[in-house]
Amino acid sequence: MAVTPVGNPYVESSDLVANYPGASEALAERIDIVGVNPFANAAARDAAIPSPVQGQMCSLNDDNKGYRYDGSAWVLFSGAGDANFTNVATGTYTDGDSVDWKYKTFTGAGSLVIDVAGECLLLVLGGGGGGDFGSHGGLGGYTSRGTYKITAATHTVTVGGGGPAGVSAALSRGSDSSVGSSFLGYGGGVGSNTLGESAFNDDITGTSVSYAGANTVPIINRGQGGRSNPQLAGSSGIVIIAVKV
Amino acid sequence: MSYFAQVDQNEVVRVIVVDDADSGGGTFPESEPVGQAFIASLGIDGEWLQTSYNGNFRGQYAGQGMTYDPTLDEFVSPQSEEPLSE
Repeated sequence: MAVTPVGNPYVESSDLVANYPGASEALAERIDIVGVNPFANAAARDAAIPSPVQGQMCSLNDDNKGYRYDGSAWVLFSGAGDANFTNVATGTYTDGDSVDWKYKTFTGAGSLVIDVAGECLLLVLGGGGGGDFGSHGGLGGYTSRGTYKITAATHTVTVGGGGPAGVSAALSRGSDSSVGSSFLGYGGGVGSNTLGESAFNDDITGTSVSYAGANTVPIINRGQGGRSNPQLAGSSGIVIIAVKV
Repeated sequence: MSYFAQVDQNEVVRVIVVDDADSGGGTFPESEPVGQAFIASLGIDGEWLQTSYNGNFRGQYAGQGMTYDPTLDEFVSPQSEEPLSE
């Protein structure tokens, strides 16, 4: 029996037939280690693999996630599953597919602590632009919104302030919001009589909320452009992250 | 909410929000050093000055591109150039 350069055994023509069972068993044992074998749950896995080796992998059917043995414990593949944060959650909700979520809302700067890398829902909304002279309301803040993969780290969060009112267009822009260096929501700029980002609804917290309206609508939510008459500054942005629990 | 403007060579670069709980209640001027320390604790570099959304202090609410006048202790808009007279 020979082995490949990476250690996988195979039968050679020179092998005796009597040694085939042993070679076959060696190959099967190798598959146990290098394959991603499925198990019903962690208990079934632990019963089948009482002495895992570092680097061994498996998947569990009860949570549909992949695990790797790091030498002392089975740990989730980085990025293979859902992210988790350790901040105190602002709230929880259950979506229409009966999936439970928790979310953290940042209305000001802070730290987002991700202990498990993976997928999350993220809303990063910049501050709205300030109301300009005359009839121009500010533009709503731009958003970065969707399902993202986030790394396990402490991410610095900034929430952009709205732009000031009653100043020139060049000075009325809202400030950006950010999560680490990867996610950015741009601040809104000056609006016009006819142009402005439409308000959009988001249900990242389980409740539909309107954000980033523009022009002359009253400031009622985050990322709104400032009103033109009376002139109002743009409203602040916001950052929300939601993960499955 | 408290608002802090980052100034670079007295020019406002951006304005961020700090929750009142992280800025000693948000009442200026006592809140400013608390908010500055909080921003620094997040690893955010730069010089930060508190600004008032309603313009209650430091002249007016700071905006990107404005200038901070340390003598007046106010945020001021750049002066527009006067048209040349014939």
